[in-house]
Amino acid sequence: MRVVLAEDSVLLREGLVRLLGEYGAEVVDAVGDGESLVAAVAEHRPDVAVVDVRMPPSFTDEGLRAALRVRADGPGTAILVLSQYVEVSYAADLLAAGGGVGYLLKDRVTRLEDLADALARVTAGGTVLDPEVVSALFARRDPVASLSAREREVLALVAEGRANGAIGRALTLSQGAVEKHISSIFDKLGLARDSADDHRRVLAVLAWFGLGR
Amino acid sequence: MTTMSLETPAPAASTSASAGFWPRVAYLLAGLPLSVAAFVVGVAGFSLGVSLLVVWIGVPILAATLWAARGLATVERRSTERVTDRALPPHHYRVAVPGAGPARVSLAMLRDPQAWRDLLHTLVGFVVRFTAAVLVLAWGVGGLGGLLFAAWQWALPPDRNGLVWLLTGSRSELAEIAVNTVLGAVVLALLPALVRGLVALRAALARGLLTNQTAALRERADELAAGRRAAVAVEASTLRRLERDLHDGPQQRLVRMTMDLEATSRRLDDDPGQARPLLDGAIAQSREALAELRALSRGIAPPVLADRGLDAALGAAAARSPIPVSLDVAVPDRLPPGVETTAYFVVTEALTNVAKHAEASRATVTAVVDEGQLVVSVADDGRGGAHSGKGHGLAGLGDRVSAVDGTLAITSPAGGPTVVTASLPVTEV
Repeated sequence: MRVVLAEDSVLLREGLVRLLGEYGAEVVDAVGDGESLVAAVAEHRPDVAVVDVRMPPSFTDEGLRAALRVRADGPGTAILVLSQYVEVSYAADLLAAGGGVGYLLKDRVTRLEDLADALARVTAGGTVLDPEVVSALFARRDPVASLSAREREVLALVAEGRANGAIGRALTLSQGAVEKHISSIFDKLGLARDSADDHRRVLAVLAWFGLGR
Repeated sequence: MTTMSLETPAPAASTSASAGFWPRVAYLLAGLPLSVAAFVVGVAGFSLGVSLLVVWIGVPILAATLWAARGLATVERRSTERVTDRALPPHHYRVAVPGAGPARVSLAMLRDPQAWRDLLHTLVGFVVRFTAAVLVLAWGVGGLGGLLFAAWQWALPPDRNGLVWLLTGSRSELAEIAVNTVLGAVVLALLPALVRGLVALRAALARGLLTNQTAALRERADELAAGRRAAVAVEASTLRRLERDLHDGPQQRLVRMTMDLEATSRRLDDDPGQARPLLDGAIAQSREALAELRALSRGIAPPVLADRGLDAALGAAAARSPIPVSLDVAVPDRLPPGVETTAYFVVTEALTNVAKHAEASRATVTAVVDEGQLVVSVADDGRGGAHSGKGHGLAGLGDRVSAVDGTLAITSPAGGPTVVTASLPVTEV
């Protein structure tokens, strides 16, 4: 797996390069701002771009905007956006760009297996959403009225972009049980349930949360 | 920056407080030359300026005339306040933006209503002051003449028609002397009352034309509002900077440390020999994060300032400075917290700038409380050229200082030295 890394903090850049190397990914370029990211992706055409949200010169959402440009320039590169803190509105921008995107707290990727999992899912065209974003969504619109506690757990994992198998493992449920929960959730929320595509499942959930378009 | 007097009028002390008889007479008599001078300057300058207004030269002439009228108004206010021994209501002049060219200063002058009232005072004041001076002079001399009639009546021609002859038709030297003496005494007895009245008249005119309480108060209200806006802006930018410092410093380090520790844990499983350097790295990150947090918390609210006051805090700040700092601090143990904090940040920010930009070999910090103002200043022997432009630390200091109703002055000619001085009112606003 070939990776372009955009992170302005030398400290974290070193750390991530080492971590990605340990995972077995090849960091073909490591840059420190949005412009360089767009150029590096155009040059190297990597499998995935790992991007810090806040970079010079504006130190706001520079990285996110660069990531969206990368996506617009060529959809072949998956995008994993990392940040010190997560914002629902940033997540919405990113998700609108289509599948193969992820948005995670930096803390999540300090564990090799979590980083590996996230990279595998985004490069496979799936969606990875930080649990913090998901819980922020739950705070926005509480589905407690209609869903059971178990169904809420399942819904949170769906919103994070997990496939049914992963949800089953996380909650120690059988695949069939997960499917039953999901169809019940989608029924209660009035969502279309026919799609098997992970990203579309996430979008459906987000649309119900009032975030989609 | 604003020319204004706002001291509360002294309570009217009815009996002994106001000046005595002679100072009042002096005040009234001095009005004679003063009013003539003011009249000449006012009328000549105004007519010259107005007639030349079609060519541009009229504008500076008018501005200069108004400027002179302002000076004369200041004299009138001061002398009136001194002789009546009570402060006049406040006055306020509009101020051109700092650093404006002479043309804009002139125009600002012409747009200031108070300047025109000053000019009007040179005309109206001429009549009042001139008349008052002549009247008091004539009254005094007349009274004195009557009182001392006996002493100089011999010099008069013997067959003159005196006052008694005018009234009764009979000629009697003795009666003339008696009547004139009594009359003179009466006139002189009334002189203090006349003087009092004329002083009051002139003071009333000064109050009417040379003060503008509403404008002064409005200006003051504007200043306070600006101070509040500055306080809000300072708070917002401080919070942003704090967030930024946390994000770029300790947060990054802790994330990296977590990465290192996770890696250490993996190495312990597969290659324990490699764990040691990773662990050392993690410890280093933890130390750095602690140091950054310590510096940050000191930047938010230095504990020594809260515990020991400004003197001790400035001592600590001077000790941390990389260049030698000499301290001259004479302040009370405790001052209002807002003032202490602002003064402390002025000094630390200025010292940081000195260390970063000034190429100075030493700096001097002084802090004194004088007439209700805490005056702190930081001077260095560096290369100067500091300015309070946007994005510089000094601009933020200006906001901080006006938030507590103080003023910040920076002098920094190219080649140095640089002196940053903040004057902060010690009473809480």
